Amino acid sequence: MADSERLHKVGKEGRLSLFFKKRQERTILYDSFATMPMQAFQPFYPDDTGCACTYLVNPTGGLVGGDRIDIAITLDECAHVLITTPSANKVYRSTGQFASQSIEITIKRGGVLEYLPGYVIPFAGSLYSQKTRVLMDRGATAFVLDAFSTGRVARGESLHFKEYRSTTEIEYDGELILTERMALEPDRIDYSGPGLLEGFSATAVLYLVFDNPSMERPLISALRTTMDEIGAVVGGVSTLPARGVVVRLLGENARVVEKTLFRLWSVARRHILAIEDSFSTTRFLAGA
Amino acid sequence: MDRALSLVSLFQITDSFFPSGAFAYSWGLETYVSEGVVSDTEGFHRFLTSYITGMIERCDALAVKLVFERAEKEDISSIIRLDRLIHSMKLTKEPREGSIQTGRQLLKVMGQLHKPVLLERFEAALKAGEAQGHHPVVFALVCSCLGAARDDAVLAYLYSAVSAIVSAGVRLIPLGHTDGQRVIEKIKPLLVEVAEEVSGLDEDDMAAFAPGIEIRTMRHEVLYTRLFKS
Repeated sequence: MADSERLHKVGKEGRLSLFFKKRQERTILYDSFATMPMQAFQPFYPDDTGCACTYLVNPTGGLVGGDRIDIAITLDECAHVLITTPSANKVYRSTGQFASQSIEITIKRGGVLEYLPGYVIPFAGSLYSQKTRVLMDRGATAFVLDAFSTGRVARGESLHFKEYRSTTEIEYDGELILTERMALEPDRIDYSGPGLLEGFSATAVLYLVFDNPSMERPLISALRTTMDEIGAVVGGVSTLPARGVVVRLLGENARVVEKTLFRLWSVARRHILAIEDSFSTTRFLAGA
Repeated sequence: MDRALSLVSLFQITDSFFPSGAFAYSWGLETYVSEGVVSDTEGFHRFLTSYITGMIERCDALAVKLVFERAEKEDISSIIRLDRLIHSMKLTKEPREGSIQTGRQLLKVMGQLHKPVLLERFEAALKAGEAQGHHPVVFALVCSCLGAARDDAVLAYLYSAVSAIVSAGVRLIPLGHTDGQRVIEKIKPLLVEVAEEVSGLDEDDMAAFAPGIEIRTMRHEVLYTRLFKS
């Protein structure tokens, strides 16, 4: 059976909801609900921080036109959760309908979210739309990553998708503090020029939102130093409209961008979460 | 006669002589020039095209259209909400601050010449901290108060954005003044195209995508020598 046929046989609308709670030293998955093709898995604990590392798994391996994934996650007070995916998120060719993913994450007071999904690979002819909303209580912390490559670059397929849309919204204490709306249409716009993708085939944005304004400057300079040391990507760091820092990267391929991201992310962990050693967690991510 | 007067008003606010401070910003161009990526008329034209299609079209230019329509309905609360939406979309420090400074400067100067109710109400919202006063928002408000037509306001905004960057390019690269005009001449059809595209769009279409420019405006914060504020 061809990949695309098998995909058509599974449910077109997948739902997943997860509820995390802090119990003593650890964050646990307290409650969950899933419909095919989404599944909920028990979290891992790669280190002694009590952080619940959780995979979002789509067993079909990717999305086809018409698929809709809806994810809702809640972090109760002081829960600490790292969410990732076991591999890149592939979006297959579509005959006319968008594949879409919507994820909404609520973080209660003192909660810490690290949302580091694998990058999206929009295949030739694909139509994809994703929306990520993070609702933070006062005193919550969120690291949110949004990354994609321009296609199956190793096969020489770059910017052959039809449309790629990604919206990220973060609300802090009821106020919209961050909106990113990307809308790419390679048929209409040439992205190769200076200012856009400049021939690079992977790009990422990492938002670091936290309630500690005095940490912004030292964090920014540490991130800049690390980025200069690595030197493998073109990147920048700046302050967000409110409460945090943004990192943006452009690189030759998703691998190079991810490698840099993991280093920057461990710098952010050290500064904001006072987690000195993220090595074992990085291995968990890199093994993904 | 009314149309003639509103057209002259558009010339007034897009003129480089108008003290909006827009000519102090390069929107990432200074970093590109210092990195050697943009070094001639051709490269500069490509940069400008990216800037218009990636940063301006579905963000600032569309905001001018949307705010103008709400200004015609005197819907101040929607205008304030759009100003906040734009603020949340300006994710890099220098362009965000540049947009606020030039917007507030435009409001300050025009506020001394005219006192339409809508401008006063927006000024009050600024003072109360409910709005930031981003440039496209104030520009659209002013255009509406001056009796301009909506699509003319969008075109005027696009032209003033281009004119400010070309002025920066002429000084930074540097280019001759005729080359500067050559770049403007070449970009004109794109401005018309963008204005047409924007006229059919709505709030849900607000978007921006120019990672190269965003990264260079971030790096501008630590550029060794700087002539411009972004």
